[in-house]
Amino acid sequence: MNHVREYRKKQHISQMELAKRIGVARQTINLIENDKYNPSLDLCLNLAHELGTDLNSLFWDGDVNHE
Amino acid sequence: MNENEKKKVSLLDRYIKYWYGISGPLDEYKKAKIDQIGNKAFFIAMLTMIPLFLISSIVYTYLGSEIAYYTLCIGGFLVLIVVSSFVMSKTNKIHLTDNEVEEKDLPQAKKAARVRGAFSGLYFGIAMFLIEFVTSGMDKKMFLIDFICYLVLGAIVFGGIMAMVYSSRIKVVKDEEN
Repeated sequence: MNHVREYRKKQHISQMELAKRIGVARQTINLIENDKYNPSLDLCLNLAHELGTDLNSLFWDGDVNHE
Repeated sequence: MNENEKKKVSLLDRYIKYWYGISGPLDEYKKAKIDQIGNKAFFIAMLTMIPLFLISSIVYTYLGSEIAYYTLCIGGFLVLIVVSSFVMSKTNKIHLTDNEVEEKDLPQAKKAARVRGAFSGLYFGIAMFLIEFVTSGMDKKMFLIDFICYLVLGAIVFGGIMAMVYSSRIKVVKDEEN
């Protein structure tokens, strides 16, 4: 399970807002958050950049709150 | 305007979006799904067109060119219906055609759907006129008032149906939708 939802909520932005910032559909963000779609590396990097974190923290298992 | 908005959408991408009925950005997920659906649709079309051509050839040999021509036309139309139905069912199933908007953008989206429907009706009317022109030649009947009336009526009905289709695709997204 990735941590996209947790980081997005930390930033207080909606799925729609995040989708607009990255240039994807809200549906795609929803699918990523629910582990139903594996994004490309480009999209992962864009997500990490927008959410102010790195790939490891965003997509690797571990505690979000340790930062 | 961010980088992504500035990125020019290619003509092919616009064409793909139009025919698949996709709203919003054609992102990697949608492109991947379209590729999958398109591949399967191609095989369905190929597997139905090959027997159709064989049947038409046999009909031509035994029943003549006119019946073979009608066989090909009707068969081709049926293949189109089958492939279109397949694509529509698949895209609807995974919500590719959903036009997600926020509550505040709903009136604008509905208006855009009606305008798009109106243009669809207009293009339909023009296409029907041109098809009639090509298939029956420059005939006086094309300029008769009842022919024009039927054309306009057909365009209005088609435009109305398309406006309803586009409107039905609008989905209001709440702040946090899972």
